[in-house]
Amino acid sequence: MPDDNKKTLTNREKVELIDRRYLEFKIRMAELKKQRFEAIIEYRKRIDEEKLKKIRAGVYF
Amino acid sequence: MTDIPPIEMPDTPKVPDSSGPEIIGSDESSLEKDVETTETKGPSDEKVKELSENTKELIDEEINDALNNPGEAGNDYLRTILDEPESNPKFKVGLEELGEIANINSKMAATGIEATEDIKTISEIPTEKLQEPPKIPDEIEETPVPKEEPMEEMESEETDTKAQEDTTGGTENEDLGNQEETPKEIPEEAKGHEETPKEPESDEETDAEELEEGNQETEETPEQQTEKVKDAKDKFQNLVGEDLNYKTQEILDRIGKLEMAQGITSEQLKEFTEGFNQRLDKLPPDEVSSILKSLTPLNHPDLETLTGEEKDKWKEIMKVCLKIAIKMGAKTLSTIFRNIAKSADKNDKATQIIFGSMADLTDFGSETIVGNENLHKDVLELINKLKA
Repeated sequence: MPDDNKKTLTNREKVELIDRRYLEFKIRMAELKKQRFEAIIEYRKRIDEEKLKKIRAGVYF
Repeated sequence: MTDIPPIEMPDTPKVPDSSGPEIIGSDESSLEKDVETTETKGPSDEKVKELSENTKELIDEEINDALNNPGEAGNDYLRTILDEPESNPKFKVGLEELGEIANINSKMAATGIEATEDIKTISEIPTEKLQEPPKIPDEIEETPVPKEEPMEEMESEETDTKAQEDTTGGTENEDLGNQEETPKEIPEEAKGHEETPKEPESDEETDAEELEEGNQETEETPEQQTEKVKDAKDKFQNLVGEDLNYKTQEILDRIGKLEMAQGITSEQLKEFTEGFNQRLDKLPPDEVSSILKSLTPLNHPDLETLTGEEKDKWKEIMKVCLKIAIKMGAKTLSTIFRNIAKSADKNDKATQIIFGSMADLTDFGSETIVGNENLHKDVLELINKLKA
């Protein structure tokens, strides 16, 4: 975010800040996507464990 | 065991995109080109607005893709899992993980909103008007402040000289003319002494170095040159005022030349340095570089190999040379006094006698100091002993 103490910016500074902020957003989104994918994998593991449990119990179809 | 579909990290190659946002509906390269071609002006308000809007659209698109696009890798994989019968809510399997996935989805949406708001804030900050950099060279030419200073000093010195002329009268105006010539004797003699210890150099190399240094100096601003001269003057004055070390004094005493470099009064030192500085200030900028070399010869790039004891030895030789030069000021003064005496009005006996006597006295003093032998020979002997 821009320096709060600075009341004005040049257009070049604005372009740089927008560029940096967008990059920051992309990095954060990459982190969140990674976390979500890890959470999905964990969810898959839970589903697979449930399947194995049913197979071992002989109730899996 | 069910097959687990291959895992692909979504969009990972695209993420750390340092080239900035892609511009939807606009040619990105053309925007960059525009920024480059307007280096001096900076991008226009319209370009900033366009970039801001396009970036916000990109963020919205990315968030929408992450959360709602069924073809997105994470969503696609999650949908595959959710098709499994075990995913049925009635089995209550993996509820915690599903909650975590929902939580991350919320974070993604919030991240998009924050980024969009920040970009909006940035684009709404008042635009600072740029200074106009292309006019800088003109400004330097228009305001030659450092050039004015020496001019003022010269003017003030001229005023001082005029004031002195007024007080001393018309007969001494001619003497002042002579005085201007007398200092020339010193540099010529000193030049002869300076040439002795110098190592022979290649003319081509020297010329090349001088040219190179000349080019470097032309790149310096007048302020930098003034500062450089001041620094060199300070170093020079420190050197002139510094006492000879014990070893040098011992050598001079042993060869009977101690008096040549001793007994300089603080007044003589002050007079010498003031006069020297005045002359230096009057020099045109293109001659300053050569004087700087003379003021600080130990800093000469060719003498970088001189270290420790060897450097101290040459410093002592420089000090001795300078002290002799200052001593020679007595000789110069005697010549000035004699000129005043000679050019005095025939009826002005007081000027003739008093200045004649003063000239004899100072002559005597300087003769006593340098001896009646050949000065060149004395100095050479002294320097050779110091160098040994």
